[in-house]
Amino acid sequence: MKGSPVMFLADLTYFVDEGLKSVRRNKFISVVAVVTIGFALLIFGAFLIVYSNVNHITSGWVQQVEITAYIKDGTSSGRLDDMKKILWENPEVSKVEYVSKEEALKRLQSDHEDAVYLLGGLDENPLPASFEIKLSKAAQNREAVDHLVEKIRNISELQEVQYGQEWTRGLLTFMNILRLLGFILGGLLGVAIIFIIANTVRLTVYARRDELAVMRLIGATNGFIKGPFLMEGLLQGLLGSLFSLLLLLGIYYFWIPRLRQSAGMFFLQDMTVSFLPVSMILWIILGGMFLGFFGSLISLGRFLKI
Amino acid sequence: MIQMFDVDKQYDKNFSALKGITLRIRKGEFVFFTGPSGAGKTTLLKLIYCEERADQGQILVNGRNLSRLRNGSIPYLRRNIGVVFQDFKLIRSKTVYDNIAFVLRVVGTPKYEIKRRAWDVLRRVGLQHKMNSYPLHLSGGEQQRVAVARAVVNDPVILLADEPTGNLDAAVAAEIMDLLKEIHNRGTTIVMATHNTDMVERMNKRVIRLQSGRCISDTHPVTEMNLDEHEKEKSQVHPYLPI
Repeated sequence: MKGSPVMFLADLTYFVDEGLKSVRRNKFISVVAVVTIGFALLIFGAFLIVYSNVNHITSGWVQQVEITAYIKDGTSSGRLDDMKKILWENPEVSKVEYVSKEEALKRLQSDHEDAVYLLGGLDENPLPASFEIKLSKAAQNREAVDHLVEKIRNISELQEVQYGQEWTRGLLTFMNILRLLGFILGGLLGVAIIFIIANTVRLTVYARRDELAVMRLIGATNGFIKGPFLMEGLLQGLLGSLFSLLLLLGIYYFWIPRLRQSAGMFFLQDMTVSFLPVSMILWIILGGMFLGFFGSLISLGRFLKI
Repeated sequence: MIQMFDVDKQYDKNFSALKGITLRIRKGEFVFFTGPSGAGKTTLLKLIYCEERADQGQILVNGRNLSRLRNGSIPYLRRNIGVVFQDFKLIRSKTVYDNIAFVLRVVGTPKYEIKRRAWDVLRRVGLQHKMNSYPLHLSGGEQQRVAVARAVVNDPVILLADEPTGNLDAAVAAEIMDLLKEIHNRGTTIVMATHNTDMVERMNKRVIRLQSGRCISDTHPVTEMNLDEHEKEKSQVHPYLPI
């Protein structure tokens, strides 16, 4: 019977039952733990909202980054087709558009209709033809862009390759720093949560040490003794993460519209701030449960030995 | 059932709790460990259910060599041994019924079986009407009967009792001893530590006397059938018999 799925299920039900009972019995300690975990995860969740929104906006910008390759005058049309083919062969490229000299002039004229007279005096079209190259999603990082530009520069018929070098680089570096900050913040908060849970479970273990002694005496295995405590940690982690999500939703629905109305936050006015994507919500919940389980595990390791 | 050969136990360098203990307890025996406080009675019991490990010597319990027993196997050894203490060690937050059902739960007994067996054992100790009470609402004697019920609900082959009557008055102590006798009559090996010499004499069972961690005598009960054997064994201080 021992080790069978039925037995495992019976044990699991017992663990959940005991875990819940313990949370109920130590209401005050449990509530303090859940609230503290909730606030810790709230900080992390708020950071994730900022990060996911900034990421969403900037990835739009990076997508708009075009590489413009200007073609030397007098390049034959056969050679133009060859060049287009060479460009297409790069996996980073998602779109290549040829802009002839005439097209370029037309665009300039339509962009500056009020100053058309300035262009009227020209004897010949001074604008070069060009290729406008758009990047694929996977290539929207600094290394890929640099790599592609390097390759394009080798084509001898091109006189110049332009792209939003400086600000794309700046943007990508900024995103990397933001991500690093996220990891550091997440790590620190994770350690804090493990510490909180470890201490709460330690208090419960201490309060129930007589019961644990009896359990050992009547032949309960270590796993059976630990089960309810691990479940308690897991439950506290779960409740903490749900609490943090509730707080986040509250902030999202009540604060952001108010912030938008205040004069200082003018930049928020045209921006849509979205809530966390479902995947991140799930990660927060799973993360909370894992941290609870782990915190409980390390505090039990020190307490229980036969 | 229980064999010890030249067992030593030290709690610290200068103090020897047990020294050179050699004994053999057969299946179905009722044995008393007696001696003054600090003689090593409790330590001897602790060695049997592996709460303590011997520093030296060999201990065999129910066919297992305890010096080779891994920590992970200790729970399985204990499922065959019931233990009763002077201070009962009941879980205060659980009812009488839950205290007993818990033991069955631990070893994976199915739910319908738990109910039947818990009820059965409570009836045996005469406490079926108190099954929903909490331990602190019971008298000392009743608490000890619950503890005995808990110890035997799994039908262990060995029952260890460490001063089970130490906290009880004479009349209640006698009730507990009757209960132990009844359990013994069903075939359980019983080892009981006590310093109550009057009670030991009244019970007329085998007595192993300890002093300062040493075994100083081992006397078997006098009956007509084993009178000769009794005389023989009286001359032996360490009746170690190889398997």
